[in-house]
Amino acid sequence: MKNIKKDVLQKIQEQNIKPKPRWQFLLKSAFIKVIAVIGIAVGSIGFGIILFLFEANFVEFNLASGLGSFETIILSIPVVWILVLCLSVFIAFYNLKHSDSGYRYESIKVFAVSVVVSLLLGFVIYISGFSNVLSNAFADHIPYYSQLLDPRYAVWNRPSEGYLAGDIKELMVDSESSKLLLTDLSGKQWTVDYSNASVKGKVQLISGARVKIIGNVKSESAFSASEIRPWEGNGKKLQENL
Amino acid sequence: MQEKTTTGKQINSEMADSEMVKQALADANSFGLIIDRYEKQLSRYIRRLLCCADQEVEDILQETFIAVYTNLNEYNGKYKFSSWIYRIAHNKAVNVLRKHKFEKVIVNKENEDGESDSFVDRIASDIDLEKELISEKQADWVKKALNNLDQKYKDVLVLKYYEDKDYDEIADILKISSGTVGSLITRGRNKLKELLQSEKY
Repeated sequence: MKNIKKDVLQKIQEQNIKPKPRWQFLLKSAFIKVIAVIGIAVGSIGFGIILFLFEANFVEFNLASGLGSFETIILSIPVVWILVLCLSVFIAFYNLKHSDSGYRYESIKVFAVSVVVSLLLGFVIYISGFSNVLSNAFADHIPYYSQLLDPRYAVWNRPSEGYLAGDIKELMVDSESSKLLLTDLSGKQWTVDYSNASVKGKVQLISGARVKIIGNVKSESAFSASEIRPWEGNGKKLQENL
Repeated sequence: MQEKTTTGKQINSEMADSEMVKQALADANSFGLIIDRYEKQLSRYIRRLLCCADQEVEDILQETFIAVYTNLNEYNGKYKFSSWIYRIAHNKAVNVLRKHKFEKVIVNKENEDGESDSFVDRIASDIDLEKELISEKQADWVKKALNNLDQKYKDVLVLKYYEDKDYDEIADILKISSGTVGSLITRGRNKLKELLQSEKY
């Protein structure tokens, strides 16, 4: 039978084993908590932007067209942000569960807290208008963000179905017609006749402004507008202007 | 975390554990006090968990105490020191179990101090097994059935019926919730009863 005590103490001395410093454990514990908080924060931002994009797309679009198409619903879903939300909630849940005291709570409760807090904070971000600010900031600073993550691109980049959006390059107004040159979201140039179009919301028809246009295609690069709307604008603002 | 009992002896024991930790951090030789206090308990616990031979138990025990010493600064007093040290022993034992399966043997050494008999009595009454059934069989029969349970059930039943830990202590040792401990104990007892009543043993 071994003398465990003697062997252990001898090994500690021979190999100069030292206790790990307390700060290492504190750092690990703090790191786990920080990751959990980041998960909640990213999840909240994700949910806020989901609400903003879905509402900006689906509600506004249906109010304009009076139609509720299945295709619109599908295109309005901000899939990538939903994935971001799910991943963030999972990261928050996992790290909360592995925190110092997290194991004491049932997994389902920890998961529920992660979900509820993310959704609540996300809703606050949405109603405060901050999700709009964030979405624009991402679009301005992250390459290809708009094309990949903003479902408005998918919804409003369908000229053949009557939905066109882009940046005004030039205005051409004469006695017979009112036209503008527009570069659409894919980079293609259009001549848009807006002589008979109603202009909704706070649209500024100036060079550089981004607008959404409902109408129909006249030729390869000619579009006839029936309605022009601002690129930014939620359902509430639109209802006030109608 | 609730205390199992609040006798003066237990409270003194907790204070002494904290004091021993402080002394061990200051002087490595003082770690011997912790080894003295927990060697027998942990040796018994590891043997019950793994049902392996003495040599393996001693190796795992040595690794456990080295890990305890290395991680001594992790203990922060939020729960019992005994729960913390049991957790380290459990993790070491489970790691070894995952690496290689031991030929499971029934360790009869415990019969010498009568502890295994009280284990059988406690679990028999909790699983509502008829006394006649128990009395007809050896205590080894119950332990053999226990050894053949899934590890998650065996972990909680060993801690409850051999080590006499309460739900909160088991939760702290295994890092699961008290609710999960309760569920595992209930399901483990039911499985054990099924095994015993199946007359496989």
